[in-house]
Amino acid sequence: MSTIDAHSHAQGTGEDVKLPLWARYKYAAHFRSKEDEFDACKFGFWLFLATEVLLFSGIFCAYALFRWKYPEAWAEGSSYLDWRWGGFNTIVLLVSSYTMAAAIRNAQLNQQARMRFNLAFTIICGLAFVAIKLLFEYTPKWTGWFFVLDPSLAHHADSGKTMLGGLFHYVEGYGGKAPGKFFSYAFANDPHLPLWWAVYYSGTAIHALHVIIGAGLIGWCLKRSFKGAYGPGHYTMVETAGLYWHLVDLVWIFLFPLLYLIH
Amino acid sequence: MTTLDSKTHGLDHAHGGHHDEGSYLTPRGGWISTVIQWATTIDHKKIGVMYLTAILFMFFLGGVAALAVRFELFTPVRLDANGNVTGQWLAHLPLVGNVEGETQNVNPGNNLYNRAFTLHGAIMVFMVLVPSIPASLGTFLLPLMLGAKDVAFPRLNLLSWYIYLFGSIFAVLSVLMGGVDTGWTFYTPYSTTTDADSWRVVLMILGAFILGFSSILTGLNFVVTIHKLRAPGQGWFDMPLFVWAIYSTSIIQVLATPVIGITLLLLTFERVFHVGIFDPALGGDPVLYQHFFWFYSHPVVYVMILPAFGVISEVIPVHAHKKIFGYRAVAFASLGVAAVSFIVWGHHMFVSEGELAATVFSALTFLVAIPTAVKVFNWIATLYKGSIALTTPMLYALIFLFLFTIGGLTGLPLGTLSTDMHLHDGYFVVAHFHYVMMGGTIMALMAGLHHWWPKMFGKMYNSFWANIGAILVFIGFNVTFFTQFILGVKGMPRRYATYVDELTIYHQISTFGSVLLLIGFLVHLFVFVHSLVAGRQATQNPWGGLSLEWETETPPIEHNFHHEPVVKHGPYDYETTVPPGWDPKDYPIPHAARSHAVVVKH
Amino acid sequence: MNLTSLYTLAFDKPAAKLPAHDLWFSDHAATTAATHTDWMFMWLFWFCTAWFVVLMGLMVYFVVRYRRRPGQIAPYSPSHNTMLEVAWTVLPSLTLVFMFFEGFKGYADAAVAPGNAIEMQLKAKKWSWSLIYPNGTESPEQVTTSPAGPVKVPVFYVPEGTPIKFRMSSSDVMHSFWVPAFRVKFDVFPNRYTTYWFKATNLDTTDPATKTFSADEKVDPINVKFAGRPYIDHYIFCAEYCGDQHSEMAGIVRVVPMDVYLAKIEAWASESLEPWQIGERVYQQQCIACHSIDGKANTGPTWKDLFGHEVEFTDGTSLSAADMSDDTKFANYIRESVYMPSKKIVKGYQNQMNTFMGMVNEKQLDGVIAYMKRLSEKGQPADKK
Repeated sequence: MSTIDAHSHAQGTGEDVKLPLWARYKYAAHFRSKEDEFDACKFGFWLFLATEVLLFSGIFCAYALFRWKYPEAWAEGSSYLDWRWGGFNTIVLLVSSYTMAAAIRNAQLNQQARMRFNLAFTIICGLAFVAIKLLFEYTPKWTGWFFVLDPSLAHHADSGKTMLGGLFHYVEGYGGKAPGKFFSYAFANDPHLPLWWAVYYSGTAIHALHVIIGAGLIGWCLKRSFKGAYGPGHYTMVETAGLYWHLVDLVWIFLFPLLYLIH
Repeated sequence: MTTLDSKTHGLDHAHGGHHDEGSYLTPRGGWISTVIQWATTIDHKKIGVMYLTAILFMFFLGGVAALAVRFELFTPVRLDANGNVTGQWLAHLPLVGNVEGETQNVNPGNNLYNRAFTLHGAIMVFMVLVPSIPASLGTFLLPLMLGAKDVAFPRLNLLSWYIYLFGSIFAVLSVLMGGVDTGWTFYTPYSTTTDADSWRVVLMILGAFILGFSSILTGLNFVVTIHKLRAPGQGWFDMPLFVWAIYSTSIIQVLATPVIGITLLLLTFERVFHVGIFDPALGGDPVLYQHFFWFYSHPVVYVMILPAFGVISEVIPVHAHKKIFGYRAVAFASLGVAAVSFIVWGHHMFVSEGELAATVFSALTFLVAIPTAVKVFNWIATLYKGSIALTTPMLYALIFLFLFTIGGLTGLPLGTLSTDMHLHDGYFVVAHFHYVMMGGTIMALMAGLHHWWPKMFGKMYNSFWANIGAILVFIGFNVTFFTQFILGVKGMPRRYATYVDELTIYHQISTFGSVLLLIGFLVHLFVFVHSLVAGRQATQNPWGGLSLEWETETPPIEHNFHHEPVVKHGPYDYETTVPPGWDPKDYPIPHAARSHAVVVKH
Repeated sequence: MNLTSLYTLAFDKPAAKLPAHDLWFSDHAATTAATHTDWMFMWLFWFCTAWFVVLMGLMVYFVVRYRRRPGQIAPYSPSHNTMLEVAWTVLPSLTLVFMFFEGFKGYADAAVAPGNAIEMQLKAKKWSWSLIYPNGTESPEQVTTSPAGPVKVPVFYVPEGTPIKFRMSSSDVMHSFWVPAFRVKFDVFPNRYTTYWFKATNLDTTDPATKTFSADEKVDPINVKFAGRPYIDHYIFCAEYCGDQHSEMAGIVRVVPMDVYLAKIEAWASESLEPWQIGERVYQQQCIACHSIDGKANTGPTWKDLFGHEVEFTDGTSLSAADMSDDTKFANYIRESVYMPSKKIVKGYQNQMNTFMGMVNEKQLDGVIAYMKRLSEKGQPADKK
């Protein structure tokens, strides 16, 4: 009698154990009804999302202030970003948002296999987003090594250096666009360029961290879904993970044009 | 005049069939399993007690640092005729020498002094004041006052507690490694350049960052609990004012803490990766840091003081057996303070920012004074025609009123632009916020602790010695901090390890007061320990409170109430209600008032 | 070298103590704007005192009058009164409006400099102030603040009755310039200029704080000339925490008649000094906080016997004794260390020094090098004199 555990202490025990987990679940003992519990969870999660928005607002403030103070640095910095990778990643996230929403729908309709597929697909999209960011965006800018050489960089002399059997190409003079004291890009025109990279890396790295956390949450849902944890009337966890995922998506929707598109 | 349905008067075991439901404090099994039960409990009462213990311990640590600061300032630092340094108390401490990697030979006392006041500030703000009342009393009382079995998310509640513990460990680790000398505000670029090769500052910043999460999650939990778990019959305006205060506090915690989160995260990036958003050497802006920092840290002083308002709004009516004056005004004042708190942060930068910003923020700052003053008026009006018992909680509530009124009024010269230019960053500010934070929050915590102590632990304490302690604390506090107002006006800057000769006498009086404070708190420690060991059993409702926590047993059973309570009267309806557990003979309500009660239905 | 004992006596501080009757201010408001601030403060003090007495009086009266009596409960009394509640919300608000406007008036006076102000450059760094006058000179005058000797703080001369504007900047962290007697402080930033202005009120010879110049014992021709003229000293403090010697970062602002001020800055401009004397002055004004000249380690390495002795750096390289005895190589090393201090860090020390580019000019740098040679046993006899 010592716990009020939301999961182990489902009321009305002794029912048919052959029923799936979601059908057996009633609600935690300190709530008055299942609806109360669901509302409470959703309300709590919305509050949490508000804190996340405020967290990112710090980055956006810094972006706005420095953009206003050093517009040239911002224009130059933005010109090093490839909108095609950013755009592709935007599509990846939008697709994942769709599959996430579909997974919730599947849970409501008790389509277990589809739900698992959609959850898994969402996770793959999230990981793909991070991988693209690391391989195609961060790595070349830091080191000058390109995973697949961008033909538009022809004006830079190709040093001919390659790695891993030609998978990576090295472009002389392209790397060094790291933040702060690691900044060593020789061709920078604006002294405040490191500041742009500081904002760019802080913003995208914190966002990428959220993508990873979100993928982790969805992974946990996926794991529990194999035990039949979610179904009609009990899909709170999937719903909240979905809300989180949409927020992550939304933040990117703001970051993408601010960083890649406007100069 | 019962307050519960007769069937829910669950003190009678024959009705309920809850024979196994003992006090939440009753150990089950051996001591090892008891420890495990406490460590893994999701019972809000146990978590509240654990918070309380940790917070009191941190208060002790922060207090030791404060005493170190006061002792260092007992005499000014001077060179004697032989060129030796005199008056450096800290330099003689055997336990710490020069911190490794630090400057050698400059002035070991200054270095330790800087670490001591940083330690004091960081511990008191992040580990004591922010969680003080909401995390300890709030976690314990909120579900009880709402008639709920627990908070909305009990496991999240436990997580908050462990996050608090984890963050505190980071901070303590940083202290054990040698401490930090940034000041608790971590102002850039000093905080990004000092102790350049060590991890101590990063650890301290991350500690504060982690503690922020604890704060966010607790606040979120409370908001949802208040929205969703009120007892049947308990409308928004039937809630005790403590709940209103916690509600306002939680909103601030949820909305302001993320900003300090990102700020401290960027600060960490700055130190570790040298990204330079705040570092002018890299084009960043230190004033941006201050704006970010105070956007959180100004609302957060209301996170510290609003729950104190809540406690006082409980203690005064209960010990005066009198309905609170202007319930709605007090409730809305809490929300008003919370709202205004978000738009006044700029007054921390009156002497850093441009004239326009300073002017606007000064005007906004005065807005905070209005709801705060309204509350004080309401409390004093509540005393009018009451039946006032001078118990320890009431004594502390009166001490609170005395000190907080001084604290509030001395905010006026700080909000006034011209006088602030003189008083800013001086001892006047130090005295002001100690009057508000210690004279306000800590005194309210003491009031609340003495008020709910019987409920929490089922034991009474020795009121005589508790009152002696309270009076010692009161005198010691004023001796310590009133002198600091004078020091501030005379031109004593903050965070100075030494001072000009004329100020010696004031510093010595102040140090003397801090010793009195120490003695006062030691008396309290003795009273509490004595109560736990040998205190007499407390009754269900020793003070005659009307809110729901007094309906249940003392100490409460594990699930709080034998049956879900139904609220039939307001928390302060003293003229019509016999306090639960009291004999109507001891509380003779006149006939007229009784009939009055039938008309006024809650 | 120990810099702790800043505030002891020997300051040319008034011998006569100020009258003790004033609980709050220990000195008179020393500028035109400060007078208003003092008035405002005292107004607020009495306003707050009145409120406090009324509120606490009521509280104590109620507690005594309505103490609990056994067998009785509190009689019914209203717990709500709209008129009363509106009144005590609105009336205090009106006084707040008054406070805001009065405060704003005082602030506007104290924060916005008049157009005809004399502009000077105030530079802050860990942990000292320096002031560059309109003619480009800096005040070489310092006062010893302790009988034991080594701690000196600068004395800035400013003319009375004339608006003065400081353009302030910092070369490292934030500082805050505060002259308590002026009742104004303002932060000093590393990435922007801030201003601080004041018009010191006329020297009041009846004020015990005002004293007169005496003929200096060194028979300094300048001071002798001013003997008998009035002046008044005010403390300068740093009010924004800036590290180890935050509490030693002080100075004196000395208000003097205009002719004394003009003669002083002219005299400094035309002063002819030996290079090593210039170096010594730079040392005392800018380097003393971190470097000793007596061989003791400090935040940075000592200057004693630096010339002609081998140094090792944290990156494994070193300069041999021969290199360090070579005039050109030594001068290049010192130049680099002053202007780009993070390039070579002497073994055993942290990379803590900021560049002094813009704070030490060529002439001053030559002086520093000459001064270092003088401090070394290996220095040429000619350097030593």
